Amino acid sequence: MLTTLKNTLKGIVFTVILFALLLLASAVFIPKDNTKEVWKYDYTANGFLAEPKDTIDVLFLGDSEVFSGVSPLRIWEKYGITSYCCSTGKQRLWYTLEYLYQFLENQSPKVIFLETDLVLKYFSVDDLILHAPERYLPVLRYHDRWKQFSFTELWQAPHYSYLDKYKGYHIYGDANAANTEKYMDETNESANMSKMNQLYVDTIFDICKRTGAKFVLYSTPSTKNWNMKKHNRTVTLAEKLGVDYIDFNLLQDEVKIDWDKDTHDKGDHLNYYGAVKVSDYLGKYLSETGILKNHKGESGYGSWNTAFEAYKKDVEKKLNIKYE
Amino acid sequence: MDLSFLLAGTGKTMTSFFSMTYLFAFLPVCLIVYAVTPKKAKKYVLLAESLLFFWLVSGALVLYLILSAVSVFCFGLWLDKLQQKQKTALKGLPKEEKKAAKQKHLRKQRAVLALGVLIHIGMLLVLKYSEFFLGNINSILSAFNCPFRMYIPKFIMPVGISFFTLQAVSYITDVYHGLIAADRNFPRILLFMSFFPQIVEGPICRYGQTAEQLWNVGQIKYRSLTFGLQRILFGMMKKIVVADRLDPLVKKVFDEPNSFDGGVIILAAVCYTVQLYMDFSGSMDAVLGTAEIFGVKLPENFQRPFFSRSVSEFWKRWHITLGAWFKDYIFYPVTSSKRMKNLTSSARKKLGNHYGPLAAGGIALFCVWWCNGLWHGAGWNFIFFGMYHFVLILSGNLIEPLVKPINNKLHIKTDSAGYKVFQIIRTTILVIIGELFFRANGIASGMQLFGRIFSDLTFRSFDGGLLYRLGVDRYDLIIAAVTVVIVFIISILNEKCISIREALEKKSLVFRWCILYVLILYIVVFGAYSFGYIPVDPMYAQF
Repeated sequence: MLTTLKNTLKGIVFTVILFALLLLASAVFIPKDNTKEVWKYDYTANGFLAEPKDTIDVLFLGDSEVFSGVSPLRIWEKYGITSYCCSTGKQRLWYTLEYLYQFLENQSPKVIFLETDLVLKYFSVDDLILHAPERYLPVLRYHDRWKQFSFTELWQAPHYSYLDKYKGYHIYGDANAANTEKYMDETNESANMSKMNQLYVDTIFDICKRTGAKFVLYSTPSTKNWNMKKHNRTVTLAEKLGVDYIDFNLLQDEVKIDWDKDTHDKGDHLNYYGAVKVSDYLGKYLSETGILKNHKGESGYGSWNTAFEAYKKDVEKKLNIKYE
Repeated sequence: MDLSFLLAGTGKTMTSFFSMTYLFAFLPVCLIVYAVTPKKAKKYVLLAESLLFFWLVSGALVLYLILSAVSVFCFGLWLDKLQQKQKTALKGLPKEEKKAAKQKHLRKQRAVLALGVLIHIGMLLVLKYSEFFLGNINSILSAFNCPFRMYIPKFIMPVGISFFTLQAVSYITDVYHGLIAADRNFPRILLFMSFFPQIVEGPICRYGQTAEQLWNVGQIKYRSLTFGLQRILFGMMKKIVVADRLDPLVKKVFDEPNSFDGGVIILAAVCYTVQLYMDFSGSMDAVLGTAEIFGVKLPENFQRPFFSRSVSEFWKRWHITLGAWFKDYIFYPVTSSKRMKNLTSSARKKLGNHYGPLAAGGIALFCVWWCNGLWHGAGWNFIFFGMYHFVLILSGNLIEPLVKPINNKLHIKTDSAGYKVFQIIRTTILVIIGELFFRANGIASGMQLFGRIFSDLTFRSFDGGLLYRLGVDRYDLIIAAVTVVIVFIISILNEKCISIREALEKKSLVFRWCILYVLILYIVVFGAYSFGYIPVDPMYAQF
């Protein structure tokens, strides 16, 4: 009995020391800046870390459909609303939740959009067990930074200096026509949503409720990623949560996506022209909610005008067009 | 009621014993449940956990495993009954009648054995090889412009079928030979067939090695727990730091056989051999480590194969349990058959004592390597891989008498360290060539890659940007190399019969813990997992 107790105690002490070591390693490995060189992956999505406190009113969460489909600077230009795209390629809901927690540390968004492409995407229990502890033990996520260590940054406190010039948006100028055959064909069937996904969406929704942010589901136009089955399932979800759901795939009268010109990869993602249409609609929707201020002309928001001017120039240069 | 919620087949990632689900959910829960169960019921808990594991990985396909165990159980009893009948029948018979009566009984038993083996091997052939065989028949039909085509059915294979089928066959055969008594306890047979750590990648165990151990499992002991966990950690280092890190490079070169020069192909072939060893032996460390926690000693599958001085020795040290199975259930039965015995005695008269037995031995060796190649996969490159080793081992035997006089004439000391190193390097090169064909996407691709080593033996690709194209960087190669050196040093110590774990046990607690913390942090920091890495399935699980 005494031996068992002694061994159990040994096990507990061993585990506690191990956690302490992992915490120490986490302090060493966590990126000390959010620049491309330091962060390596998804640095544009992390640009919000350097934004001044409580200056972003709208948050767009989701996978690549978001960073290719919504332009925060376009919304700023038209409505003076500040927003940010926290989106990464192949994002899964556990990662979305991480972004939301991180975003809320320094910002108090009034509206939070969740793009639905990832809402129905499966992720394994393995992913969950691997990534869930990363929030508490960042060494598990950033361990690969040993390849780029400089001794001086090892013990520095984090200081974020990188402001993303397009606020998380990526400009895609080229067009590759989509095949629209069977796109959004009518059906009463509904896609599956795993219990895990449901749990995550519920958590995001609860956080929004707790922080007083309006939660909105929206589906980017995409002939490859969206269909009526998914739409039907998302409608059920939105009804259950009692939130707005904007499906751009069914808003073709109001947001006229030209599938020959507005997608850069055959209907998978929108290009700049498609993103402008979606952003204009979302800007109008946001301004009509009546909960957001037009910050144009306010002190502390001058950098948004500078960012917009640079964005406008880049669009004209990259696409060889006159910005409208 | 939605029964799919019973999680059938939802734990597919658990086929890797280094998956998060297995290491941090399934295994801890199993250990806790097992630990709190009263001693008498522990075996049943282990059986339930094994079936649950299979259910989570393969869903309803667990039926294959259960049916296989039922069939093994029944065939065992059938053979036992026939053997008892034979005993009773022969009792009291005069000597002259005994032989004929025995033959009559043996014929019956042989028929039962053949049926049992046929059912199991047949199931494996149908599920694993129908596509390959029928596809080849269709190719032949097409070559002769025949309009008729065979229908190729698609089967879903239960995980580990190649492993548990061989265990089933070994049990029936051992009962037939009287090496073991037929088991009258079905749960024990089922546990022998399904013990969860070994079901995915082996080792291929014999009933005599594990059945009793599994049935008599007891309380988890502190020593077995720590030893088991240490071994799992060591395997994790091999798999996650080395094998998974080299995967992008290997994949890129083997998927694009025409894109790289000979130098890069040599690098990829070496990396693949290292990857395969680290992957498989790492997984075996996890399997044997897990079994050790339960107090079960499974047979080793590796014995430092890269210290082998010949290809034949290599295969006695690599995937030992498979090699032993082929030796016991194919090689010996072929060589000891009446026809082969006759062939040997007549060949011995004509060819002498060395070459004579090689005639029958060669035929048996051919059968072994044909089966070995095919066991690894339904593809011509696997058969080529088998035949390659057959030729190497047979020719090694053939030239053996010629080598000795040459060595004597050249005054080469075969027991010198230099000669041993030469033999080890030669064996390693031959093994790497074999693995190149083994990994290639088909035999033509293998030939292409092998050909380019000679036709384009330049290293120009190494100039600028190569590693980026291969999906790795120099740090990946450095850390993989450092880890290989660590494993190599430990292997040297093991080769000298020094057990690191036992040596560590004698050190102070602080020292032991420091070593373990270093190992854990080494895996955490240098492992190829999480962002920027794609998890790599265990390589032998697909065989």
